[in-house]
Amino acid sequence: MKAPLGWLKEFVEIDIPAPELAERLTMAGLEVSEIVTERFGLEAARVARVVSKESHPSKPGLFVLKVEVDKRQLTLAANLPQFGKGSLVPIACEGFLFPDGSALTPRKMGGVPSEAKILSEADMGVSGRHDVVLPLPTEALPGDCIIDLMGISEQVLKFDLTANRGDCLSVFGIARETAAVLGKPLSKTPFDDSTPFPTDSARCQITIRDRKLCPRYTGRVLLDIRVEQSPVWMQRRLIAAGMRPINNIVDTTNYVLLETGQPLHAFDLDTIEKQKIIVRRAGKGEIIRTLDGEERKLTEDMLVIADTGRPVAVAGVMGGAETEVTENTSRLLLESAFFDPASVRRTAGALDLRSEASARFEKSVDLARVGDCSDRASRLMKELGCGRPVGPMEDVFHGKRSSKKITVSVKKINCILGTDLDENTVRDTLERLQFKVTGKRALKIEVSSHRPDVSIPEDIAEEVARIFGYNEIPMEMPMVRTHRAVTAEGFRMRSTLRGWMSGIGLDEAYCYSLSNREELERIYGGENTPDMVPISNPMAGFDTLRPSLLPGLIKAVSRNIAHGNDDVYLFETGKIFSPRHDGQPEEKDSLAFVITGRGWHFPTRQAARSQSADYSAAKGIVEDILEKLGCNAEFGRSNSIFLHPAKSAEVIVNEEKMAEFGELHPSLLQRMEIDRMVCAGEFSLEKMAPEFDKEKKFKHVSRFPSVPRNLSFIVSEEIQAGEVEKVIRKKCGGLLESIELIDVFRSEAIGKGKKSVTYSFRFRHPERTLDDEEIKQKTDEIISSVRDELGGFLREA
Amino acid sequence: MGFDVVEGPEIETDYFNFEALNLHKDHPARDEQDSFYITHQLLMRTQTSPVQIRTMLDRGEPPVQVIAPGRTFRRDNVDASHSPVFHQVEGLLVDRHITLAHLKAVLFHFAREMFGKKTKARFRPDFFPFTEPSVEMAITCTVCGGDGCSVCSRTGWLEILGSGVVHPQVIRNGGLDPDECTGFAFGMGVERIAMLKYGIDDIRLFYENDVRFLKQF
Repeated sequence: MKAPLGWLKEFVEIDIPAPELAERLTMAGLEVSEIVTERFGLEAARVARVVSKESHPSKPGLFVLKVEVDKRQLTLAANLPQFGKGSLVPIACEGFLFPDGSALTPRKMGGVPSEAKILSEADMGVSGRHDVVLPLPTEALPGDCIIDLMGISEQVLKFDLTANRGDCLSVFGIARETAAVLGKPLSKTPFDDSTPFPTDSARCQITIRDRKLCPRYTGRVLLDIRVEQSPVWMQRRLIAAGMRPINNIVDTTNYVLLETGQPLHAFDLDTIEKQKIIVRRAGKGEIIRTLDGEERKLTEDMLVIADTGRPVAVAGVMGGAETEVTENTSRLLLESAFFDPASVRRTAGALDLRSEASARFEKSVDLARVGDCSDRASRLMKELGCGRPVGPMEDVFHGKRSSKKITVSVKKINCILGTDLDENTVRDTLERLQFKVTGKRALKIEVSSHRPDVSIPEDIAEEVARIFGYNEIPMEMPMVRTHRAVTAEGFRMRSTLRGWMSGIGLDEAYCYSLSNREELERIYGGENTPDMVPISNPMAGFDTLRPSLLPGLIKAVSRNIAHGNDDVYLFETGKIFSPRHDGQPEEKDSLAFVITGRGWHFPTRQAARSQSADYSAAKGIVEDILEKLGCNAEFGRSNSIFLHPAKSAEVIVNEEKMAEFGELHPSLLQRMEIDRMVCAGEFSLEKMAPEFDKEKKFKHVSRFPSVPRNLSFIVSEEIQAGEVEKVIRKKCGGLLESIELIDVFRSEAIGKGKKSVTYSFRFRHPERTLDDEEIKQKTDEIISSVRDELGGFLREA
Repeated sequence: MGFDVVEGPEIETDYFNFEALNLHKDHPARDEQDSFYITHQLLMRTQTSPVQIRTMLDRGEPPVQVIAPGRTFRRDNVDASHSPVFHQVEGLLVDRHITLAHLKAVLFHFAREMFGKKTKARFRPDFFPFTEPSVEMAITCTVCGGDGCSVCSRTGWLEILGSGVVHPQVIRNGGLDPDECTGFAFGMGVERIAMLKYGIDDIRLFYENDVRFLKQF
């Protein structure tokens, strides 16, 4: 909403500069986003200084002047001898709009460039004299805008209004607010003159068929219509407020729309069949050609203004082309009405046709002033000589005539705000806002119809607070009773995990929860793609919810490599989604990581042996987490489609898969065009949760010495290291304190399809020292088991 | 200050995301264009405010003193200041005599902790369907210290959060009695605040995960 300052000043005295006014209105809830200076396209009228003067080479009596403005030099020709070097002269530069609408363009006059023109009084609309140079005031300086010197330019406040303040979509509405904020009375209103119009036989008839969508419709007839240009003052105000002047009729309706917030529409009365207006819903398949020349298909939920034959306007949105006012119009019907806000919003949206009118109807116009605004426009048209309003006005009014009353005590207002305002302050504030207040302590407040957004006591409290000043309200820390904590378990767990992963040395990543189906299918490799949750209104390629954290992290690795970052260690915690056949998709918490690079040097058990972010490093990360959780895990074969089948594993806790990790599958790397090894892992936090909350129990630490042993076995390739470990653990029971795979070796000597795995053991008994016999026996048992159960043989040194 | 942490689902029902927060079917904020929908009734939540309702219903009685951080989703064109996925932190305090003065104090204290002890706060009226009175809080510009620069559009202030006294209808929708208790609520965009605090100029950096960015923090 643009409100020219001069127009505002018509309704309320403003004796502070515009920036201060803007600040005060902003702090009262009407945000001024900008103060612009409207120059009506006349910015190109400037004061210039003459730099040189010469006679025209070919045309006698003409002079060629070089003038300077804005550090630029312009050449012009003139037959005025009075200007010499150093004189200040008013000029029109390129783009200047003359009163006839033509624009100044540079050209050549007799071979000499003509880039500007000395301004005459007629050029600026001051008088009709083309031969008199526009006089410059003594204080004029080179570079000045003529229009500023003449006081024609207007300061305009641009408002960024909140959705609930439809009453401020008008200059008078803002003036009303300004009066309340500044504590000044309104000097006048658009409705002060209520002289009735003479009656006439020319009438129109109005029928409202849908009272809910249109509770009030008024029609006024104007005779002797004369369509011409509107006066300059009205054109300038329209331009300053952001609308284009067209002709006196349209301009007056727009002027009153901007002034009062009430949209009006003018019909050519004689194009309305039988001069009967019917406000109804559109019929099936009805069409209307709107003012912009487009054909619009209407639907049955849209409200139209119709005559006895066809729709003549889309109610509240746009008028029809067949009934618009033309230069042949002699009689006019002026419409002023209230249309249901939601209906106008839906209709304007469905037709993709938003106008200054629909914007105001959507926020609700002032039901009580519908007729008064029409009168204001009629009087203005009479003043301009473009029509003769006759009465009476047809006014079909079905809505509530009584105004809203709210009862609220001063105590309640103070309770909401935390203030200690006395009754007089509250009363004064509300009266400044044009609310009528009666009663003591329990105030009965009558809210006028221009504030449909005020309906409950809390709304009254807000009105008091914003005029009183939000910054004036005290600050006080609340006292809250201690209470049972409401904690989010998932949040706690994820925070701890994030700390652990950061501690290991990974960086936390955030990836989008929304992905692209095509891209996911490429990552998963086509038919392995799991069922995913689709977005029903996708945008910018985001059409699916992520089923796992890995695709996003893998993409992040790919991007980092492309940027030249070779060492990338990332983790993410977040939600993943899968569809449920019975309705609402499932949200699950997940933790995942990806690592790639040569610079891996974070000590995590197995990883201490790695120099790069490889399978051992990934296993090290997983083992670290498992150790911190204090849970017993087994490693099994993984069949994840992301991972390399031979270099990956599943983590099984309480017989359920809690995580999987390993090298990324080579074909996945190929699909993603990644040229190096990347390892990854993902944990299910749902499966981890029981381990997280598990109470730790102390395990006795034996004081007796341990016995270390190393054994190497030759097993076939398919046997996983984990299987061998399982067999050994089973055999040793409590005697085996620790076992670690320290080497995997392959060679010609060992044979094809076989590998050597070396384990380092520690035996320890909780209550005594073990003797060599026992150790030898156990070791033999281990060797037998591995042979019997796995077909593996002890490798001789 | 004693706020517990609670969470809510990222896929929300239309009811909890809009209706229960006083955003009726024809409200402009409900434009289909702005939210990612799964079905007619389910969408990716556009704000963390639904957790206010869920928490009140869950708790059953005052006091309710929580903050709810989480991911939120808006169907916006992606550019330097808009991301389809971002994070918000929601706050809610409902008890027997909570006022606007309490809201100001709590937010002011937060601003000082977050941005430094010299930070000033400015409160001005705004409009949200789920609060009444509604408040927009601004802090002294972190870049120019209040003198005016391009980041704060020469005003010297940066708006960082929306808040207000919880609308009585929202209290009712939370299963509590607005005659018995009142509350305040606030919400802020985490990325926006991080960008202001650290001088980050592009929101997309948070989701590109370039290690050269990640390692700075």
